Amino acid sequence: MELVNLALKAIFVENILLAFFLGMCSFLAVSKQIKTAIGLGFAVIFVLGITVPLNWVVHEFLLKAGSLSWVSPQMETVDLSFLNYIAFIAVIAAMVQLVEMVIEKTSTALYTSLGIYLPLITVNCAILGGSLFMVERSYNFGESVVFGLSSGVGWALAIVALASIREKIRYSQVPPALRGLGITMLLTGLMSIGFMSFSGIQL
Amino acid sequence: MGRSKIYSVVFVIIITLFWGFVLSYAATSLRERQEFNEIVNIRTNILVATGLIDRDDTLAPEEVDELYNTSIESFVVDHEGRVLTGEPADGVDLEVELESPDPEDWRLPVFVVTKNGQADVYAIPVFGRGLWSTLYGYLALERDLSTVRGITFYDHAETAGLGAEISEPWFQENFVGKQVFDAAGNLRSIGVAKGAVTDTISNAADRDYFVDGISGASQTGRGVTNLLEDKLQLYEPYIRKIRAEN
Amino acid sequence: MADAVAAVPQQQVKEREPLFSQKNRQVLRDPLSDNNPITIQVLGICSALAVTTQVKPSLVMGIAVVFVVLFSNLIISIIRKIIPNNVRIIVQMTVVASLVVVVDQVLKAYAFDVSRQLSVFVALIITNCIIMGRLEAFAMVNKPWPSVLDAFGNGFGYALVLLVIGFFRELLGSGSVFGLQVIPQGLYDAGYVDNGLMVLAPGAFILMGLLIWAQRKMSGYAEE
Repeated sequence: MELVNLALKAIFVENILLAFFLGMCSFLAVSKQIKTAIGLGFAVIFVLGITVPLNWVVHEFLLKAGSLSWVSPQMETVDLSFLNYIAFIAVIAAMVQLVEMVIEKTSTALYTSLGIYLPLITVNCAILGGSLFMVERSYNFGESVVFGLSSGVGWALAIVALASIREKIRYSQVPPALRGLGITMLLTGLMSIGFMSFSGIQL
Repeated sequence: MGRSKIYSVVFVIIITLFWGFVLSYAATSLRERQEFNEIVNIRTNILVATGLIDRDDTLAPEEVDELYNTSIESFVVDHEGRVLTGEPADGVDLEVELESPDPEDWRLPVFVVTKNGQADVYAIPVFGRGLWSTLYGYLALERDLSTVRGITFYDHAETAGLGAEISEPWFQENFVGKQVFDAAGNLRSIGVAKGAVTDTISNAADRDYFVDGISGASQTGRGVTNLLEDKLQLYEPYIRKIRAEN
Repeated sequence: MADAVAAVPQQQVKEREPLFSQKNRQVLRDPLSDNNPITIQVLGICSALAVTTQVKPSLVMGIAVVFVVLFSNLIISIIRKIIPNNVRIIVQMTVVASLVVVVDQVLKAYAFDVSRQLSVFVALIITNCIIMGRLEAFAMVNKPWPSVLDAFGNGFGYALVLLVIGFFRELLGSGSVFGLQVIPQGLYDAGYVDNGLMVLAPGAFILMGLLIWAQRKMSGYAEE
């Protein structure tokens, strides 16, 4: 039940994009068409779902203060948490690379639909942000799996919704200076207000 | 081709080693100051909760340390309210203590400000789950151990503008003067209302036990309600003892 | 990031030119307005929105980004000729991530309050596309001095937008600037209320949209 609650929170109540602004760059750049938005959305769900738990393991057993005590009791006092960021980004970059290679070898169909978005993902701050939130909110392993996946779902939901609006708005008369980025920002603001109405939900 | 591969690998290794050294140096040389900051942050919050310094006061870390050492006395009590003599509360983390399954092992820190040789304000650490994160703070009670002197929340990761309002002055000042015991002497604790107290709590006599809630942050509010009740119950034996002595 | 590479023509600077030649001045000035990293190139939006609830964290964030982009541009530009091409992204990432960790550690030691306010967003400078974008597009192909100017230009262009948004969000959302109350109490007594929405996410998006609109109206830039 706790986990379902966490998932709902991460998807609707506090959407990683609409409440925490993470992953805006690719959100704005890739939301012109629904099809590409769906592709990137799935890639983000996939990568977040893998990297958050993986970084949990790295943090818990290698970097956290006192986490090296399983190597030898003398290392009880070692605190490598200042290496958190570098380790996380390295894990993310390596995972993205690995996933890309695996997909390329195993499924051509999946590769042609997902593969092109994978390189974009390393620099998507939603991915690194997911891992950082996991540390800040001290989730356990189960929670980090759920949090990773549902943050990804929340992100995907937001980008697909925005892409659908942008496809429609192409036929509207928008002032020239507001076209593109400007109107997209205003739209995102309105969507964000919409998502805020979920804040009463609880289980 | 083979040569350039070796070159790449060597290059990356050198870069990594170089930055590894720089970072380890930065981390170790700054650690002492960072830990001092953490301690001062907690002490500042105890001082603010007990009303010894104002929320807006900007004191240098050293001044905070000095004021804390001269004006606050701390000790630990056990789960039945007995004061364990000879054990200062410094370095006792209530959260760590409560991890032990046996209540006999718990050491509960209490911070006291004395005035004219008499205990004037009592402060206890409070913490518990909010919407996203664990909220940490201090609750300070007047000499009667029922009236709230002040409360602070110093660490949380709630949503900015919603749950994070708990660290704003208006929310915290909201608690001042409220009661945690009712007239019959039963522990009532303080609840966070869903909106302004005057609108939501119809019975005027009950308004002493509720504070204004934060709109849009009902789960954080519920977290605050729960954590206050929970921690007050934990300290109840000790509080009752002192109240009886008074 | 691909956008950044396309948007900025790769400029080659000739040898032996004065420190503030026409070209260098343009390198410095352009990103402040006409080619602003946030409002025109659409980079680094996440942190621009997240930390701007008040002016003070916006300022600190701006300084942190200027610091990181400056030193990473300088370092990469100095070693650009010996970086093996196939691992250049990794090398850039390492440099940026290390600088960010340094910034984070220093903030924790000397600006504790602000570092808690910024929380994870300091770390997210690593994935701030402005920085990687400048490294790829400029520092890899230019000499150290123009790279430094380019970093200053982009860093300040970024900080400027942060400050403007931070100013309005704090003014409208909390009635203060830099933590000092500026809306007179009399106005509150007369029934004025702070606009709480400005502190929340939607306010940030909408203000950003309006700012982009105003800025593009002035510079005459329009997307197709």
